[in-house]
Amino acid sequence: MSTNFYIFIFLSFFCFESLAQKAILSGYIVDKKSGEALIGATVYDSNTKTASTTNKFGFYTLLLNKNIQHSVQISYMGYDPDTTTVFLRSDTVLNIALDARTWSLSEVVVKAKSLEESLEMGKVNIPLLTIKNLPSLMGEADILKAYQLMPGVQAGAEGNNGLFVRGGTPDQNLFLLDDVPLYNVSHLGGLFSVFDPSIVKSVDLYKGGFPARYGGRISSVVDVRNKEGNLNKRNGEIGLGILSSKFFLEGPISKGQSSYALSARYCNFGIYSYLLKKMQNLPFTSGYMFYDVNLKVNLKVSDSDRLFLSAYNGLDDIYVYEKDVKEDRSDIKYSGSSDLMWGSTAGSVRWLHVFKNGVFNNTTIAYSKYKYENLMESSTEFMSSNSVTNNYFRIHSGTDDLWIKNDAEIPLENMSIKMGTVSGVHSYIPSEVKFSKNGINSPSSDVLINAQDVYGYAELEYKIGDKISSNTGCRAGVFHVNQTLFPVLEPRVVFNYLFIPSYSFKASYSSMHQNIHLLTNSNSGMPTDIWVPSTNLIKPESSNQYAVGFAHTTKDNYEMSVELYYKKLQNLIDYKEGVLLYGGSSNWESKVEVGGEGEVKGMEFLLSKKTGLITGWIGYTLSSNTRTFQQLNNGMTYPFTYDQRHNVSVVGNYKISKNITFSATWIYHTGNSITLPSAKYKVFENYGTNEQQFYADAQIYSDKNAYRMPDYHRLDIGINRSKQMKKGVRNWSLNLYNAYNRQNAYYLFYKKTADGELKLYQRSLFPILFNAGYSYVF
Amino acid sequence: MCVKIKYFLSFCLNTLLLSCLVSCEKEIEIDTQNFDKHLVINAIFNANSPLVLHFSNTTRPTNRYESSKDSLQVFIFENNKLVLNAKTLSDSLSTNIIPSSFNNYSIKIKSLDQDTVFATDIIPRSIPIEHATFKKGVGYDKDGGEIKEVSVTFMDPPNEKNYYELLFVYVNSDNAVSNYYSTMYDVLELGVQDSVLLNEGDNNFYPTTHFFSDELFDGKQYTIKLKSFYNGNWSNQHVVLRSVSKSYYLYRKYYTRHFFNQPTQDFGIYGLFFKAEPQAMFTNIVNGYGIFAGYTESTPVILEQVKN
Repeated sequence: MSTNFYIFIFLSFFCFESLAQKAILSGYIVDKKSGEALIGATVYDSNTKTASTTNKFGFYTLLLNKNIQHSVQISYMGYDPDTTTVFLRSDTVLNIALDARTWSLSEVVVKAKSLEESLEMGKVNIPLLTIKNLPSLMGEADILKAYQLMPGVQAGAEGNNGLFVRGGTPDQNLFLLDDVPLYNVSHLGGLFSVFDPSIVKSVDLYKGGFPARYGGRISSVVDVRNKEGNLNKRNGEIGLGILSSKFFLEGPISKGQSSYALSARYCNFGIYSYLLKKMQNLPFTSGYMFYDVNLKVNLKVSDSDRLFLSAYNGLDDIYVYEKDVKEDRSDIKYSGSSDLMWGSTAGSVRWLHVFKNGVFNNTTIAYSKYKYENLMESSTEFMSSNSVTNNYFRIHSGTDDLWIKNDAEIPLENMSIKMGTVSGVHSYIPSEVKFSKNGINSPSSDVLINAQDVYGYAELEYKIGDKISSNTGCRAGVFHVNQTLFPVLEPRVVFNYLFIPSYSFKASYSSMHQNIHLLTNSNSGMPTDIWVPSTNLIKPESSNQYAVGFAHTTKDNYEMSVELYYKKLQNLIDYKEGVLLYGGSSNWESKVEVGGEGEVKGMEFLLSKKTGLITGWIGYTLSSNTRTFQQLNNGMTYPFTYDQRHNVSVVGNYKISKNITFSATWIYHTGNSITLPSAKYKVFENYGTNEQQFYADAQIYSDKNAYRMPDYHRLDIGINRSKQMKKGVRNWSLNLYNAYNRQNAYYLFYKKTADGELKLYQRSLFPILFNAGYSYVF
Repeated sequence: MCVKIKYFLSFCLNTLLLSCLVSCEKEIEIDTQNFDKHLVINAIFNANSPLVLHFSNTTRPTNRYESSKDSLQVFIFENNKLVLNAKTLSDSLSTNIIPSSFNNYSIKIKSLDQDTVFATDIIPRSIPIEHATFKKGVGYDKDGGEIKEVSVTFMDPPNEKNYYELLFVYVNSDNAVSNYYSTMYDVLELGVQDSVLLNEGDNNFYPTTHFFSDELFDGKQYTIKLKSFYNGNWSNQHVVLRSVSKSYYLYRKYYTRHFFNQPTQDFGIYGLFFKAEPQAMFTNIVNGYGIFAGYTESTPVILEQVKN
C-alpha cells in the first residue's frame, strides 16, 4: 500500500508542477434533503467544455484555468439541475446540494452523460425506483432479478436470481457490497436476493469493459452501494409481504455530521410454521427462516476526511426441532434438532481523505465470511433402563477473507488516474465432517486451506480531442496457496469514438482471473454449493473478452446500443460424470474435471426509454455458449446448460397518475440444454448367488446437453399505488406473476403411466401467482 | 366459533404455503436423436455354473422392449480356442460350458442386420473369507434400535490388482439362498466409516452391495467393518465375498451411479439439488451394449457373534 501511495503522490506533484496555470475545483454533490452523496452526477464547465462525474462517494474534481470565471452546471437524473458561477483563484472546494425533482405530468429528466458519451462499455444501471416498481414473484422487489431483464444477462432456473452474464456462471460474478465481496447473495435457494432495495443506493453491473480496479471474478462485476443515511432527518420504512417483513431506518447521529442507515428483513415462513404447529398441535417445529441485516454509519470527520462503517449479516436456516417426543406404548423419549444453515457476514471500515491537490484517497479494511453448516443433534432416553444415547453430526464448509486496500484518484488535465492496491488473507474449509455417538468422536476430517494474495492496478482515463476517449489500465498480482504462486497480469482497455454527434463506436478488451471456484450441482445458491480455492491441481479460471459496439441517442431520448462480444473462458472446472458432492468431501479435488474451456459469442441489442410517463426497455440477445472438457462428452464441445440462443425481454412502466404506476415485463428465451437418453436397454440389475437375474433399464445418453427444453416465456404485471398520509407515504403493490399461466419446464423426467408406458414429462414450478406487498415510508 | 376460526386460519396458511410451492407436470414430446439398433448381451458367469448368454436389443426410451426375431450366430472362445459355435433364435442361450478361474472367455455374435459384437473377460481366483463376526450393542439409533457391528476379514493376494464384491445372504431352513443385501446394512443412516468404502465414494448412490478394489490394502489382510440394524436370527445370516473381474467391478460401480442419476428416478425438486449429471453406463460389449463379466465367490460364511 505504501509504495502505491508514494507513487501517486509523486505523480500528482509532477503533474501539478507542470500545470501551474490550473486549479482544482472539487467537492461532493449531495441530495439537499438527506445529504446523501449522489453517484454519477455530472459537473460541467460550459466555458472550457470540461466535464466530470461524481465517483462512488459523490466526489468530483475538475481541473480548470485559474483567474477566470467559470459557469459550473450540475445535473443528476431525477434532480433539478443547478448552475453555479465560480471565480477560480486557487484550488477550491465546492460542495453542492441538489433538490430532488417533484413529480409532474410533463416530467423531463435531465440525464447525466449520454450513452454515447459515456466511457463505459457493457455497464448496466437500473434506477432503484424502476426496480421497485417492477412486478415481483413474492411481493418484494428483487434487485438481481431486475438485472436478469437486461441483454447479456440470463436467468438460470425459474425464479432463481442467479446471474449468467455473457455465458458465465453465477460464481463468476463479483458481488461487491460497499466494496466487500459477498459469496452467497441468495436467500431461499435463489428465489430472493440478499440485497435489500430499501437500503441500497445504487447498483452497477459490468458485463464487459471492466475497469482495472475490479478483479477476482471472470464474468461480471455487480457493484452495490448502500445508503449512507440521512444527515438531516430521521426516515424509515416498514414493509410486509407474503415472503418477508422488513424494516428500514436512517437518520442523523449528529445532524449534518454523522448518520446511520439500518435495514433488516425477516422471512415470514417461520411465522407460518409456528402458527401451523400451534394450530395443529404438531409434536415438532420445522420450517424455513432467513434474515438479513445491513448497517452503515457515516461520519464527517473534517472537510477532507470521512469515515464509513458498513456491516452485513444474512442467514438461511432450514430447521426441525423436537423436544421430549414420546410415542404411545414406547419407553423412549426423543429430543433432537436439525439445522441446515448457510449465510454470509461482511464488514468494512473505510477512511476517505481528499488531499489539497484534489487527490481522492480511499483506504478500506474489509472482512467477509461465508459458512454452510449442517448440524444434527439428538438425545434418546430409554426410560426403562434409564440410559441415554447422544448423537452429534456436523458438516461444515466455509470461507474467511480479510483485505486491506487503498484506492486513489488523481485528476489531471483531460485525464485522470486511478490506482490502488489490495492484499488479502483467505482461509477455506471445503469440507469438515464431525460426528459422535455417546461421546465417541469420529476422526477429524477438516481440511483448512490458507491463501494470500496481493494485487495492484492503474487506470488512465483520457480524452483526445472531443471525439476520442479511453480508459486503459492493467491489474497485476499473485495468489499464493499451498506453496504455489499464481501470478496474473490483466490488461484492460475501453475505447470510445464519437464519430458523429450522438453516434459513437466503442470497443473493449478485458482479461480477468479468479482464484476461487464454486462446486455446485444446481447453480442455485443452495447450501450444497461449496467454494474452493485454486490448488496445485485446479488452476485459476481466466477469461479474455473482446467487444465492439455502437451507441446512439435519438432526439426523443431513446437510447439504442448494439454490442458484439467474444469471450474465451479457460481452466474451468465441472463435476465428473455422476459425481455428487452433497455432504461434503475431503477429496473434492478428485471429483472435478479440470482444464475446461468455454467459448461465448453474442450480439446484444438494447432500446431503452428513460424519460416520460412511459419508460422501459426492449432487450434482445443472440448468443452461443459452449464448453469443452477433455474428459467429458468424449472431449467434444457441447452446449452449456444455460446456452440460450435467443433471449428477449420487454419491460414497461407507465405512470398512470401521480400515485399509480403500472408495470409489466415479458421475457422469452430458448429452452436450456439438457442431456436425455436417446435409447435404453436391459441390463442385469444385480446378480444373486442363486443365479437370479433381475433386469433394469440402462440408458444410452445423447451427446452432452444435446437436447433443448421447451422455450420459456412469461408475462408479469404489477401495479403500485402510493398515498400521502399524515406522517408518511403508504405504498401498496399488487402483482401477477406468470399472468397467462404458462407452464414453463423446470426440469424433465421420465415416468411410467398407469399402463406401463414410459413417457417424458416436464414439471413446472410456478403457475399464475398473485401477491401483494405493503410498505409505509415515514 | 373458535374452532372454526382455527380451521379457517389453518386452511389459509396451508393454501398459502402450497400456492408458493405448487408445481404441475405435463407430458411433452421431444424428438430424440437418431440411433441405430444394437445388440445387447447380458452374461455374468462364474466357476460354479454353466455359461448362459441373454440377448436383447436397444430401443427408444419410451418404447417397450421387443423380443429379438433375429437369428444369431454365437461363437464362444476359451483362451482364444473356439469351444462353441451355435445358432439361436431365442433370447437366451444356455451352454454346458462351465468356466474356470484364470481362463479367458470371449464371445463373438453375428446377426443379419446388426454389427457383430465382441466381448472378453476372465474369472479371477477365489479369495476365501478368513473370519466373519458380528458384535451386538455397539450403539442405538434414535428409535432405540440396537446397532451391531459386522467384521469380515480376508487376505488380498499381493502384486496383482483385485476387485471384490461383498454380499450378505439369507439361508433359510431348506438351505435355499434368498437374494442378499437388505436395508439392515443401512449404509447411509449409520454412516460408512470403513476407509476402503469411503474411498470408493459410492455410499451416496444407495449401492445394493459393497464393491471395492484393493487400492488401499494391496497384498495385505483386510477387515471390512459395517454397521447393521438386523434383529433377526443371525444363524441364518451368511456373508459372501466375490472376487470379481475389473469389468464386473466397473459394471457394478457405474450401474449404481447410472441408476441413481437417471431421469426416470424422479425425486421431485429434491432431486435437482441432490442428483448429479447423468452417468453413462459401463459396457464391455464392443459394437453393442450390456455386460459380459466373470467372478468367483467364497463359500458363504456364517457370522459368528463376538462378545463386547
